Amino acid sequence: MATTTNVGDALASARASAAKAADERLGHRGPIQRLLVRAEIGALIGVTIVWLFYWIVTKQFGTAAGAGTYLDIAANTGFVAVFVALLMIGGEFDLSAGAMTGTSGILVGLISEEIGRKGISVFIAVPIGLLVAAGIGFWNGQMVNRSKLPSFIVTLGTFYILQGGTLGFTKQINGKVFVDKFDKTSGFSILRKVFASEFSGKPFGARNALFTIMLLAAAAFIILGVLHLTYRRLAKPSAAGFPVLGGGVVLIAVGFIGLLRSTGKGSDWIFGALLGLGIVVGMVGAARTLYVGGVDVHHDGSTANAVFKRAGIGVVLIALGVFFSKLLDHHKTKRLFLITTEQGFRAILVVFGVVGGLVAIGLAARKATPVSRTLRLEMMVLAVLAITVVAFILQSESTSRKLRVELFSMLLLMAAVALGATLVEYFHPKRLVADRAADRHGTMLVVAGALLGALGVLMRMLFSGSTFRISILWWIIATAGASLLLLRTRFGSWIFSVGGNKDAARSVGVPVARVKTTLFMMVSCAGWFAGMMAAFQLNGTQANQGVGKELEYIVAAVVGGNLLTGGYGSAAGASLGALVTAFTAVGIPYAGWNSNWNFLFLGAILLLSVLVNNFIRTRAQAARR
Amino acid sequence: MNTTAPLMEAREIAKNYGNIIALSGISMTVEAGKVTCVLGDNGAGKSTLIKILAGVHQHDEGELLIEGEPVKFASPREALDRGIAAVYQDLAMVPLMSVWRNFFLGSEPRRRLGPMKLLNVPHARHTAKDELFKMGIDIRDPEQPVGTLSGGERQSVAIARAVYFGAKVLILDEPTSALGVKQSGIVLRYILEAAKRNLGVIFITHNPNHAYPVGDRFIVLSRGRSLGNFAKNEITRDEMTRLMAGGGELDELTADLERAR
Amino acid sequence: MKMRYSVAAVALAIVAASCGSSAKKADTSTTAGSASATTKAADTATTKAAATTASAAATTEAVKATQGKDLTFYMITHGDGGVFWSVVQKGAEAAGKAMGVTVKYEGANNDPQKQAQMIDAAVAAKPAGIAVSLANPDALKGSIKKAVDAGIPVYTLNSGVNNYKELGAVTHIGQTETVAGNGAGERFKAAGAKHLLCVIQEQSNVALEERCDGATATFGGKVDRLTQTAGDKDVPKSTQEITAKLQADPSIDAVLGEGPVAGVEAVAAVKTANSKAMIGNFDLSGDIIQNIKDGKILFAIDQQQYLQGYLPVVLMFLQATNANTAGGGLPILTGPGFVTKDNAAQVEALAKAGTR
Repeated sequence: MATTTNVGDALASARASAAKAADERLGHRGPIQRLLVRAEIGALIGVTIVWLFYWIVTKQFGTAAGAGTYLDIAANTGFVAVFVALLMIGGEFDLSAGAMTGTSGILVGLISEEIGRKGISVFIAVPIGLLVAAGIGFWNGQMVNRSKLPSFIVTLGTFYILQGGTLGFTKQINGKVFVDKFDKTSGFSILRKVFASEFSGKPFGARNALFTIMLLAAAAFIILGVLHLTYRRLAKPSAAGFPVLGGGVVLIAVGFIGLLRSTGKGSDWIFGALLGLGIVVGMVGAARTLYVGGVDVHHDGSTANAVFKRAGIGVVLIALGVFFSKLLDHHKTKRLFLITTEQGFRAILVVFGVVGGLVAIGLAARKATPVSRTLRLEMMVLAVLAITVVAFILQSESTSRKLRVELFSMLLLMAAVALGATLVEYFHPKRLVADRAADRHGTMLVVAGALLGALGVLMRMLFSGSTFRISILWWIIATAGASLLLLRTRFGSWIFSVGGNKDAARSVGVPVARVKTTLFMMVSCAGWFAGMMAAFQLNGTQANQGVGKELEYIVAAVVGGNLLTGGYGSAAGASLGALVTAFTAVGIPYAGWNSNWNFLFLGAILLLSVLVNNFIRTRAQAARR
Repeated sequence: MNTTAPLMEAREIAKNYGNIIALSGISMTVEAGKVTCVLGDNGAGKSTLIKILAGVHQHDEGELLIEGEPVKFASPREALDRGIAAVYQDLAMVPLMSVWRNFFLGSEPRRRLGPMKLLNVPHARHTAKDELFKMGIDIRDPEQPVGTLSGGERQSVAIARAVYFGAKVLILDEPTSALGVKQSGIVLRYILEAAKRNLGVIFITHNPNHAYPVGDRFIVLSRGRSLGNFAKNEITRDEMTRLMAGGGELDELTADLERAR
Repeated sequence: MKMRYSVAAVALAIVAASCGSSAKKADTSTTAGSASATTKAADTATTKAAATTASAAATTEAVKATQGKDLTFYMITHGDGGVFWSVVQKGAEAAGKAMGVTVKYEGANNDPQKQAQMIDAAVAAKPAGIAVSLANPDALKGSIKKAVDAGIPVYTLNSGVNNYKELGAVTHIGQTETVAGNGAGERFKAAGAKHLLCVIQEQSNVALEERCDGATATFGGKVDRLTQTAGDKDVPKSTQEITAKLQADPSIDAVLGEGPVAGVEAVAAVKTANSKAMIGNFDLSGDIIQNIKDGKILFAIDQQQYLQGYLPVVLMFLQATNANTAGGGLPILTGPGFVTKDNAAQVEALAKAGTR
């Protein structure tokens, strides 16, 4: 036995040192890499692209008022979609979720209007509705658990029962097929504040300045955080970088203040240029101060032709984008090719040309990395130039009402940041080993920056005079709560396991039946809440309300990265999916397209998002080896 | 509690499904630090036996004793609580879930945050990585899905999990059946590792070449009955193989084949 | 090497081209625009209205408005794009073309929540006018109030003649359902019917209920109502529902279809059920007119929905450009017009074109 122990220990220590060496040789997977393989990334990309698309193509989409509308639509779908996603991760479907909203509204309406002479207060009716909803969810769960039938079938049955029952009972009780005058019930006005109140903040004096400062600070945090996550920190900040950093800060300050106090005359561009230059210099200076300088030595000298091919394609595509932007006129909404206006067509061509070109150049830069540092530098500079060109293309649309001046400024800022990042990369080697402290600080900075930016946007939207419904707040709370439940509680682990391999879960003691029933009850209660929000907003409910929404919930969940077969996904993703569908619902009429294209668009988004999510998931699993 | 009693003892266990006799008259002992191999061809009743030992089914006759105490498990959870951990062929792993979630499934570590009890994620990640490392598996990132591990590694994660959660008896159901030679070697080494930590290991297999090197005791099943209960020094590998394959029948078959050539 | 330089050269050329062309366009609006933009360099996702630019924009808007250019109107109905509502849409779009303005037509498919959301979105777009069909006034009153509060003129069409005023709309363009229903009831009575069946194709549509109410008032006999579950979306099923009702109660001798599809379904149902019931209908379509010519339908009440699409656009245009408000506080009636065997041929050609 003694010899075995010694051999065993020797083996163990040998393994340990080998593992450590392996760790050092390969690149470490920092928080950024882990972020890129999350389930929600596909949905996040989709949301950004669709938003940008509608922002460019329409006038009203980017306004706060427009935001108020699509956020409200997203909230009504997203609130339930989040819990439908949880259920989907747990491996089941609930087709009765849509009808549940209508049934809840009708039930509460009938109780508060028809019982007794003057009806019962909604304070009693609403909780009764919740109890009934929970009961129906319990029923769904028990049926699925005991009958061993697929939940698709069981909940389809519930759906039909709810739909028919609601219609029948309503007609029986009040002779109509809807409940109206809900706002005349006792206690309505108070509960309305909970379920459907609206908020409209008046713009205050320092709003714009405060917003700009918050956004700049957010950008600075995020840039610094990403740098922290990518480069090796010096033990002590180097004094050599201070002058450069200081110079950069001064340039930024001069440029910024100059722009703020501009009188709109032609000398503006000087301050803008100073601002851009300041950003570049500041980034280089910060890097000089904080990070180890030196040279990355991973080169294999393979052919540079592939790089140039990509770069060439990129340049050609951008040239095409420029060409089309000049060729096609951006005036009236004249119909071209039957399905789109000239404006829209032009937008599509320009966007494809420009985005395609940027992507190609980006690929060229990536391909250039192992070849030579100088080549990569050139490719990155090309990319920066490309961004600048794009900015000028868009800015030169002077006769169009939809002058994208903000896009112009943003693109130039992006170009400045990209240039700065390129120079930093040229002079500093990337981090290869894990540095827990830097990871933590970097992540904290990025998160702080993102929160600050979000807070700034939120403040600006809320205090712009446009109305926002409280449904949006409830939606955000539901998303946060469901995500916390899924990712940071024991129950969440159980949900994943029940959906992924329920026999395995059962054999380690997870109460599978209880988990499923709880999930069904959550979905039904969410349906109740959505029904309440609708009833208090519309002052009544139609008997067939919500019928058809169950598919929207599932679409939102799938677009958000949830697997139909269960075991994988995200609650936040479902919210993003709901947001994308809301974008199209609002954006299509703004763009002047026929509303029937809504479904076509939704179908295309659904298919595309499934493909993208699949791609991301396979990369996530492959990359980890 | 009787300290001289074996960790687990089965006395004349029998199980019937309707009028099919799945098991009859099975007796075996499992002692701490020793590996007991349960051998037999397919259909011999091995899986029924472990399901009884692990609490999935209940025996109809006979006695099951844990440290001298007779028990009858009503659920796998009960067996787990008594320290009996089973690792089935499908491993009870959820492929899409991360390694640390799989590791702690059913026994997640929690900490309080105000009124809520949340998962202690850093501790879980950390511990999973360390425990697996102690077993000799290096998981670079505990967040990676278990499905990205090789078959042998997944087996080892399952074994490491059982060991960590204080299993006293580890039951392994055909862990090497789906693996190649090298991977099987890895798993066999981990079985020894577990025995080294003073667990009692029950190793079920139909491959005598895998069972012989690691086993201390062997029991051979055939059609629900025991063909014999041997210590290592009481039987050779060839004898065991012949016993499993039906002894005389194999001799006859070999002779026939020789003649036909 | 050569590749490197050629790529660089092309890139520089493009940069020069795009920058150069923008330098040529030296109009003040550009530089002013870019100046204010770079000032608020980080304003991205939200409103662009700074006080000065807003007032400048307002004056230019007012000037442009009188030229009839750049006006946008929204028409948001509860319609489903079927044979009835497509005529309304045609009317609205024809009016838009005639006036030279943009008309955005949206149908909410009988979903009041969707319709409310569409109205909210329209209000956010700040159009020069919004026309809405009030099938469910309670559900829409919040959104319409927001439109009215934002100073956008609201016109109602087709449904809601009893509610438009309290919601703050300028006027209602449609047919008074009760009056039209009265006419239908009288005609059936004159034809000698004793038991009437109203076929209602849209749930919770106040207007349809009113039609039947109007008919009941003047009919004098027994009246039953059948509310279809799927309505115009599922013609075979709806036809079957009518057939079943006729078979269940053979004393029915008059059927009043309350929409163009319902009338055709009634013809088929009457045939299948071997009923002797006579049929009258609300609203026209090519099929309905053919049935009138063939003698299968006694009469059709035409609410001339083309006008319901056309007139609101005209009125909104006039209000935006000339501050006219029509109606005098009363609704503007587009019907009832009665189509019978006598005048069917005349109307037929127009119905085929999709404008009647």
